Amino acid sequence: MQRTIRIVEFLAAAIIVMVLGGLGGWYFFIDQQVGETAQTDTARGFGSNLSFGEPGASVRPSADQPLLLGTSTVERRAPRLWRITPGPVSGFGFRSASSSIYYVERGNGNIMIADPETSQVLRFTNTLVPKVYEALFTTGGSVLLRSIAENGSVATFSGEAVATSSSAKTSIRSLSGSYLPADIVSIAVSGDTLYYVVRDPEGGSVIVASSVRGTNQRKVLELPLSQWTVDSANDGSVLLAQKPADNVVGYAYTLSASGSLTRIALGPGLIAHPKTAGGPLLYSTSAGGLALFARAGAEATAVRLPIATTADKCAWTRGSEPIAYCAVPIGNPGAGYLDRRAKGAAHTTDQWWRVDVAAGTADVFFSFPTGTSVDVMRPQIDERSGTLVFMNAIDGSLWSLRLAAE
Amino acid sequence: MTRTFGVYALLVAVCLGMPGVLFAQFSPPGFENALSLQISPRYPAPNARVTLTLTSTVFDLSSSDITWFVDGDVQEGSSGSRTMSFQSGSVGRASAVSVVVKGAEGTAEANARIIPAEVDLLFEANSFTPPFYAGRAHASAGSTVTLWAIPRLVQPGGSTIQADQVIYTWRRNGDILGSLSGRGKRSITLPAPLLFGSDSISVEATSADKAVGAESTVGVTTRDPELALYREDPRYGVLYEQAFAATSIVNDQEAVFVVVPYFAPTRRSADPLLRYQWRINRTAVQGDGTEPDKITIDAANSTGIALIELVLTHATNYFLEASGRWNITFERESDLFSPLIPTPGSAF
Repeated sequence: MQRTIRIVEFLAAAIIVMVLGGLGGWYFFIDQQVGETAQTDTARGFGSNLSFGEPGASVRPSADQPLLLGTSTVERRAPRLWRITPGPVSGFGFRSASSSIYYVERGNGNIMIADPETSQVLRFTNTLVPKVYEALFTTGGSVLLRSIAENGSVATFSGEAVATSSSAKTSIRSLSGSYLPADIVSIAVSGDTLYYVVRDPEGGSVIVASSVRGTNQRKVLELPLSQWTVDSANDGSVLLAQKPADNVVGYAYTLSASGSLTRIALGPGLIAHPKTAGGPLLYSTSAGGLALFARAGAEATAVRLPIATTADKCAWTRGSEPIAYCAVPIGNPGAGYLDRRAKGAAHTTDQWWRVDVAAGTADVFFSFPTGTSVDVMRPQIDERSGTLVFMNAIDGSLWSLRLAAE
Repeated sequence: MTRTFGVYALLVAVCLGMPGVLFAQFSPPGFENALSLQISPRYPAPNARVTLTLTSTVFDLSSSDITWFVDGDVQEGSSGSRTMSFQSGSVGRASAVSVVVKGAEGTAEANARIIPAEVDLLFEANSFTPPFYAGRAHASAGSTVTLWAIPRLVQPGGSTIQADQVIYTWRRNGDILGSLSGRGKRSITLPAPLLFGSDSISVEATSADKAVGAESTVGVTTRDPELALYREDPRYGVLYEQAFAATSIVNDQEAVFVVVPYFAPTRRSADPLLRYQWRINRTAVQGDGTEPDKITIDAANSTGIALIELVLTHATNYFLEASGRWNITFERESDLFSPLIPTPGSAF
């Protein structure tokens, strides 16, 4: 009998050991799989920035932001040079009643708010709009999200953040709006009016003016060409220009509400950036190399500035003085730069210069820290906070730079 | 009129086809063509240097007193000279030029009224560029080029001539394009020059009476399509801002690659007439299903360099051939700075 009991005890012990061994092996197997999955996700960029944050949660900059010195849970003013996002954004803007920076995450179309006074970054909307290539804001708070539709055309969504019943208890909002016509080549915000160039599949294009939500559409001008950029100046005037190409003459005009065109500049590889209609103008050309010119007024003689950059790397101040800040490549970007830049095959490392158009002078204003390579694109100045805000064309990240030296 | 020596003549310059110049005319018999004024450039542009040259078959100009006037002011520097230059005004601002010649033959005067005008000549090709491309498309063999003229012509009375009332004369390499020219024909579309070709295309915009006009010329050069390779990120879409260099690193084990045939004569990159011939490490492979401009590479069980080669041709356009090759290294973080050797049975 005792022998039988002993055999049963041995068998039970063996079973327990086997079960425990099996469970242990399974645990280590699963743990390894989880590790590999996490590694893969990280490599793909997953998890680097949550798509949907906790209501009202602040997204703290991650450890891979070397310039975010002193970032902590304590609210403090952002450093003079602040890398707001590590990942790509689609665009940014300001609101008339706020000193915060509004931007759109490229991967999910969420609107985020960055406050330079507190270094806080808050999620403002959580409506998923995937793969937003370009975003614009109106000062009234609306946003335009531009992406590529299934059929390859460009889709433009015009919306605004609204509180819904599900989000009533939080600060997170939803995005509500509608789509503008397909295949908008370029779009500009002028006050409460949108001006956009719609490509005609049969050739040519139409310039349309509408409300921000796309209502009250009015045909401004029909054009036999379609490769245009439309932009607005500080005074709300609308600029219509041919897209630039190296060594190919381009023209730039101001566009009146009635559709008449007034030429403001022409030249090879032309990029024009007026402060106001008929007012100070910066324009660049590209024919064997870059050249930047300044003109104090429509009747004034253009002066070549001692810096070589493109005019779209400049931002005008809002004041009456013709002052602009321009990002200037360090070193010569070489011939054919515009075409290579447009293809994403050329990036520069820039430094900031202050340009006084009245005096025709340019002086170094700010150099990025050693080892930090920023190819400035779409710079804007927020007068309220005295900040230059811009994107880095290399990785799409968003940056701000306080104009006042510290 | 008061500078009369024996014979008085207010003579008219003979300038064939000289829009932008109006002449006062009083021609006593026998002196209709005594003075001739040639103007360069033929169509004076605004705020530009204009040169007038005086010739005569009646007067011995070398021994004559010649006095030039612009808007009534004597041009001292040009006294006695057969040529005179001055700066034209802005568009539509007329300049009254006169020249008085006093010689043994008598006195003659010629008047001209120069009205600067201009015409912008814009053009673009319809070759392929991807959405959100910030540049202008270049012409390639098989594509077409559209040109558009924007004239600024002001009549002597000061009124602007409407663009649809202007007479446009288009030329390609000097040859008039008759069927494309005429009143209001301010836009034309032409086939791009053939491979490595270059066309000089000009437009002459004049008023119906040829009194005012302007001219502009552009050079249209054909170039080969250019291939650029990008990664299609599952989260961000095609990373158009980061074209792969000839040698590049992908910090991942699997990636979707998209090639963009810049300036190819097509509306879309997945055009069935375009032939994408992919090779990975010298082995021919097919693109992704209905998207021949894409290819997916899975390097999960291998390490090494993927030599991606692509030749692009067109089913009917034999001028189109573009090629590209990129050495892509797939690296996991642990592989960084380690020698990479292709392994048997890998995906490439």
